[in-house]
Amino acid sequence: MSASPRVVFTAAGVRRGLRASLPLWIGLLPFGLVVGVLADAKGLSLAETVLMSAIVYAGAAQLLALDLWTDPVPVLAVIVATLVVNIRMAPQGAALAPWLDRLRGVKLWGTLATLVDHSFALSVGAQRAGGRDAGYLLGVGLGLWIPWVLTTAIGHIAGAAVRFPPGHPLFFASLAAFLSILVGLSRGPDADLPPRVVAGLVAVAAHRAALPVPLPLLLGSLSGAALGAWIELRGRR
Amino acid sequence: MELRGDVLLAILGMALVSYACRAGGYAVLRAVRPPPFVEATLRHLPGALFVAYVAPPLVAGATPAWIGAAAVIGVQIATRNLGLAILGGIAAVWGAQAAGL
Repeated sequence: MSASPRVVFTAAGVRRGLRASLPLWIGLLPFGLVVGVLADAKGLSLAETVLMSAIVYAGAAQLLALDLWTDPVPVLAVIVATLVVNIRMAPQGAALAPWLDRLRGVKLWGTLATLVDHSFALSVGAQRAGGRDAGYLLGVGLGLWIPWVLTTAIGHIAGAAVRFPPGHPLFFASLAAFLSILVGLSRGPDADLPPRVVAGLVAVAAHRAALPVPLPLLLGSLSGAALGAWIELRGRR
Repeated sequence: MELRGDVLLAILGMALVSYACRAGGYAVLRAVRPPPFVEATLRHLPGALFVAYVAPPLVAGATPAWIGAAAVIGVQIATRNLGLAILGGIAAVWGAQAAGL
């Protein structure tokens, strides 16, 4: 047998992942409720809300898409917005290659379907600690999928029962969610400042120019990210 | 149990691009290494995206939105808990509106 550590995929690993996801339910709860309430306020039925949470399974993307939601739905705009928010997961899958490269078929492509920020972060931690059970990644992903679908459904039912009027403080939640994610992402005060200032300015300018959604978002994020990349690469030379 | 055509199309499209990011990212990025500029842009995208999202409503927003934003940032830094930060922000907006700000 080779001396290199063998990656496995066991039911015990999945169960360990499920258990690891339990403490994260508390943080997920208000987020899911808010997405459910917002979905109801935007006129989605309970079935539509549950379907979205079940197969899109991406909180920030759902929040953003629902923000753009009108009747009839701007289909292209919400799909582009979802793509822009979720493109961050592309490098995550690649970073988990030491585990994923050993999986085949439904274990590989099914596990990837459950990839979220938290399952990525916990699995990278497990990988660095010498973990060899890729079932852990699926376990965390599944463990968060269940409360995600449940809490958005509960939020929708509560929203339909209470009928929060537009301008209710509850709808500040989308802004709050993105602000707190942003604070969590910040590494240092100066490294990220120029790209973020530019992203904000371009988005505000595009918004003032009444460009259709999601163009202000798209132009702002791409110009900011490109500036960040330029500064970073220039510094390396 | 209502499922409308345009809503269904939007949800399926969202699901498809999400899966493309999850699975396609792994499939493509392990086969080909993108140019450094593309890699660096991807790294900077989340931060820029969230700023581009919050900037227009905050610039246009009234005092309660700013008080709420300050509360979110404060709670997030203090607790590192997304759920608490959201609740803190909603509570602050609620309080500011109730105070007639």
